[in-house]
Amino acid sequence: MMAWASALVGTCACAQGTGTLRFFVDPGNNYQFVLDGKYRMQEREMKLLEGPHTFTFWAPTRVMLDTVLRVLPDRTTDVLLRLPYSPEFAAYQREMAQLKKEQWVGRVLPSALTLGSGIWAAISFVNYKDAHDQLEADEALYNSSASPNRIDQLKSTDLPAHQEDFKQARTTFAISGGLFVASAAFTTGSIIKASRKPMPTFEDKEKVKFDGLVYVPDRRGGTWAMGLTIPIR
Amino acid sequence: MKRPIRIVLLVLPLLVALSGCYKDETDVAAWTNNPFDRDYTGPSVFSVDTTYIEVLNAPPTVITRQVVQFQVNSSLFLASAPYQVRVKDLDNGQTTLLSQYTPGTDTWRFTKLDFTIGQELCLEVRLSNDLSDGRPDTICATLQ
Repeated sequence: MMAWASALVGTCACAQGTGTLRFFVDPGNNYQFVLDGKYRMQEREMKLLEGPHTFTFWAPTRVMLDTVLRVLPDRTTDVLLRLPYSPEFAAYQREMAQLKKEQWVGRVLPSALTLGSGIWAAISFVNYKDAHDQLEADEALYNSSASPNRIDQLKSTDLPAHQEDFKQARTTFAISGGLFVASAAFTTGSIIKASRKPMPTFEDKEKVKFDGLVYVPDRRGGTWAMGLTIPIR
Repeated sequence: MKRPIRIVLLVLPLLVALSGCYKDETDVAAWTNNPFDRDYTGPSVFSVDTTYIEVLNAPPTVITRQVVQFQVNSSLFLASAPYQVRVKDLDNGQTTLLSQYTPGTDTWRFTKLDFTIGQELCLEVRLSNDLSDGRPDTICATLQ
């Protein structure tokens, strides 16, 4: 590329002066440009013959930008440029954001619900087991007690209360367990559904157009690439 | 959507099995085998050994009294435990809380000063602990 540029500068250096263009382009790391419709380059600074030159700037995910820059003799001119994102990339980003939102709704929320109901079911089961253990402890107390008052209190007050606790704990466990099973099934279904949804793809049409502007040699020899841009408006 | 249904079919029996793990098998109506229980329905814990007249020489007086000696069948207890016996003299209505005649044994003695030879003496006896009494039993003995 530099050789082409030097050749370009060298051919008419005897008649015209030269100037330098220094590019400050957003994005700064991977932009490219085509100079005068012929030379595809990736330079941050270049020396050119004085006069107007056409530039077509492009960077991945950005739109192509055509502009004419006038090179002033014996001067270094800074070119500040920001390439906007391409509509395709903006649409791709919107689709990705929508997909992430759907994944959040379809995966994370049901998973959180399943986790929550699972924890509730586990706690309910522990309570259910504790309530059952309490009944067994009551029976053991009856069998070991030698206090008529304590036995009376156990049979008339404590045991009925513990039986009610057990009944309630069993009901709670059944509800929480059922909710856990239902939410687990729902979550699995949601995850399967979400995983079957195709990921949005980004097709950089601006790159195709940019590649079509100039001849692009490759290792096997080279191909001609051509692009056609039809301005609708 | 068959996979979620399969998961439900797998998890549901597990849940049902867990629910069935613990049952309320306590039948309070059947809890009547503890002799300290007022609802005790087992065999009588008390049995009369003998009755006799005891003469105590405590100068300057001599005390003559009736002794009713009875046994507590502690093998009916569901667990080994210390206990007392509350005795009600059905003849005069007086109630006495007894301690063991010989500590560690199940032999008990009730004494009565105003006795009549040949008259049956009936006592209402209950196991007692923590200032509360169990089911009342009645034992009778006649001084010959």
